[in-house]
Amino acid sequence: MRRFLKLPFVWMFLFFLVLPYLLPLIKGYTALASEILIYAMFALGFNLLLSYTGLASFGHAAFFGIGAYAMALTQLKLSDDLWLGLLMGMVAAGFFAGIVGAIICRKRGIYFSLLTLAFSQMFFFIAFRWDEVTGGETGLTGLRRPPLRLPGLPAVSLTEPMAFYLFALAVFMVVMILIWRLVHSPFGSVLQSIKQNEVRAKYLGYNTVFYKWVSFTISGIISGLAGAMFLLQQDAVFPTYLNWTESGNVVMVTIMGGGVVNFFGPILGAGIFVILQNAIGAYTEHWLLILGLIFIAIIMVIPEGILGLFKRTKTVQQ
Amino acid sequence: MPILTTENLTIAFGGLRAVDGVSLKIEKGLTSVIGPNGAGKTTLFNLLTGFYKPTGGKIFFGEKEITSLPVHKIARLGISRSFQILKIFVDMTVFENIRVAVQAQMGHGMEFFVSRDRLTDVTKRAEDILEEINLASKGGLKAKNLSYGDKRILEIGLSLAGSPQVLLLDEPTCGVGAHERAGVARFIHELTKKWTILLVEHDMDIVMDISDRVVVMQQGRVIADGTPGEIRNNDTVREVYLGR
Amino acid sequence: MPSGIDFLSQGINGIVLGLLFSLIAIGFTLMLGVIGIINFAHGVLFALGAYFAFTLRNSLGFWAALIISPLLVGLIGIIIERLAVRRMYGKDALFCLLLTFGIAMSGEELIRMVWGKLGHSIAAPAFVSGSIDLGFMLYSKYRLLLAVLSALILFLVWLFLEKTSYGAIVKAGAQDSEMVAALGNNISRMRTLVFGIGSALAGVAGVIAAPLWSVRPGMGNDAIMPAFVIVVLGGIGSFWGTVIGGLAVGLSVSLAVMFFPRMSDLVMYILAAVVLLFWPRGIMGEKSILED
Ligand SMILES: Nc1ncnc2c1ncn2[C@@H]1O[C@H](COP(=O)(O)OP(=O)(O)OP(=O)(O)O)[C@@H](O)[C@H]1O
Ligand SMILES: [Mg+2]
Repeated sequence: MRRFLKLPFVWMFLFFLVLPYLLPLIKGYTALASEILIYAMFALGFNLLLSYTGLASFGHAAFFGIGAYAMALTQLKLSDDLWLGLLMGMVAAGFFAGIVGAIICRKRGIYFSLLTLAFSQMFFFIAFRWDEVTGGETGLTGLRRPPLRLPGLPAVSLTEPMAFYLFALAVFMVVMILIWRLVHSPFGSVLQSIKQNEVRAKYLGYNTVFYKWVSFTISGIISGLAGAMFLLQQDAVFPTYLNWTESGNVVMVTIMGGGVVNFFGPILGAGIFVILQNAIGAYTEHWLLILGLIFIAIIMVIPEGILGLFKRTKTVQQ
Repeated sequence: MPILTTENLTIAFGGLRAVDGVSLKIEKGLTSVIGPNGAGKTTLFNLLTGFYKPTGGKIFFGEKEITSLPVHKIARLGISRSFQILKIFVDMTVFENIRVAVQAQMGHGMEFFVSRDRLTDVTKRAEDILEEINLASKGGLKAKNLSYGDKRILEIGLSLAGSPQVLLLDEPTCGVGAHERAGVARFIHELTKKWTILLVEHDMDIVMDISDRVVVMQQGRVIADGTPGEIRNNDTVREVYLGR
Repeated sequence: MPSGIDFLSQGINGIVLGLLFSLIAIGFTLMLGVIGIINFAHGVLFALGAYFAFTLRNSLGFWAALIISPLLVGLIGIIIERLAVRRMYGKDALFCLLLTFGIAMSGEELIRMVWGKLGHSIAAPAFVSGSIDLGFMLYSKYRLLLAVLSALILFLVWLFLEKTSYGAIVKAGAQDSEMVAALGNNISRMRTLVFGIGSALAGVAGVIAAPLWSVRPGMGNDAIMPAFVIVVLGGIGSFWGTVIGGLAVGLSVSLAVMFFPRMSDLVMYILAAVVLLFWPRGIMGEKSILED
């Protein structure tokens, strides 16, 4: 039991169990808590690439959006099974991430960022223009949350915000633990070595381009899952989900929380981002101004992110 | 059977032939490659390891032709190298550095959900290598916090970890200060007992002391090839290199 | 089926547009090549140029606006560089990207606060209103002026880079870190200057583009995205690569408007992807430090 309590996941789980009851204190609501979880999942998947592989993608919103569209289209054209929808979200995002990754994983540094951005804009415009399939500018709306069916159990409706929140929490926990295991696996070591010195990693015998591709694709799959979950949360999807500003946001959120130095950073960043967006949005319609200024301040004052700050003070004390 | 053979190996960067028609047979033991700055020694290593594609000529590893194979494939065959400019994983601990190198050789890369701490065979082997390179007591240090001489040794350790058949060492004492120099030199000397080595080194004392054979390069060409004694007495070599 | 004349007119449109795109991208690629930063705020600076011109033109006229707006934008660029961007030098390039991302985000919102949410169309100056008879077709005078001005400014940039000693230093700064070291203290002044010039170039492109595209708070996106694509197409930091990339984007967009109108915003990305398969560093790109 003592060992059990030492696991950060347990604390995280307990915290998220009470979060919906804390949020009203800052004018939040349960759906906001779900949004935090979904965004955190997205940022964790993104951070696999940024901090654990050393690739700064500036186009990850594309995979998030593709996941959402795939879920929506599955529901509209195929079946409204929850699991099938989520699966299709992951498959579609993974498929396109695989293709894009195959083209750009040889690139490095800023050049890589440029290319991810260009590709994501391509997907954005496809979503924007392909009216017959994606609904064009107005997107796909009026989707519904299918009930949760588990073998041997009666179907559970997810329409209540709290029910959906608990479902999102379960998905989030699974994803987080899987990513945790991934970065602490032998595969994770190879990614780290590529991040720190790719030439040396090659000389050790690793096919680094292939490893980067795998990491890119996995990260795309997780983004797609987050997107599919977001569709369930919003009951709608719009091309703006894929826009480059959204891609920028997830980078910012990850850095802001301290993802570069701490596994849990993206979760903190996502929480702050979603709550801020909601809180500032309630006061002024010009919340993008404030958000932009906050981003600027963070990059200038604590570029290592909030959890990085703790690390800094700790080392200073020593 | 030579371990490494090059036939007429050539690479040109624009008009400059950095390596120009080099034919060598590398046998067991320690072969040194010397030559003035810009002679093409590092470039030769880059060719042998697949980092550059030659504009002409062939490379054989044993009987197998390896010309134009990618770096990681050549590394897996058993040709390993260290770098003139350090390429260690600075933000990993010394142990983690070696572990990720060992992992490559043991084929543990695409394992996604096992904990790397559970790979006892890898851990064991990594610890053995740390013993071998005398860094066992510093295994928990971040590589960036090592002294420069120890970084140099770790650099070589990374190349050893894959148990290569040939080890290419590019200026392993480069930049090492006087007080650590003897230690690094002794370390390289130790290595010669166990490994087949191709060494690039500017320190003539070390070279003449430990080499079985010395190859002299100048402007991309091999201008002399022989035992340390022969090279010392070779007039051309004296003129272009030793006599500076 | 489009006729030969349609082709020709869209071809001319494409070249005109291409010159404008090149002008939009040149400042961006200059900063990227010389200072090694991606400036996401390039689009906002472009929009500011257009909005300043929108405000100034009523009182001062087109030509004065054409000069003053870019100077103002250049000044803003210098302030941004001095206050914020310079602290990012030497750090991972990602930080500068994020910093300018924040600037772009709040900048666009500031524009919205100052000039309002809605767009405004701007008439072409009186002396170039209407069309000119090219013999085989009528063509908008303003578009011709736009092409001439863009080409002229690009030519000035080229002169600066190729024919002045300062330009030589700027170009060397991009590739040669020893040169940079030798410059010592001046390197910081050079970077400020390049950032200022790059911003002013974004501004002037905005002034010129305003009558064609009208002004909107989000218009920066119409500039920043082509700039990205053109850099991918032409190669990082290359003057001629930028011009070729710009023309390629202009032509492909114009022709797409004729054949597949719905794909017109998409076509430049497809073009970039295709080019990338054959020229991994862009058409004129050389191996760059930015790849490490
Ligand atoms: N990628 C490259 N592009 C262009 N020229 C190169 C490249 N690599 C090496 N050269 C040139 O090839 C020549 C040989 O360089 P190399 O690094 O092999 O010399 P070296 O013998 O290792 O010298 P040193 O003792 O200084 O390490 C030099 O003139 C160098 O400038
Ligand atoms: Mg060398």
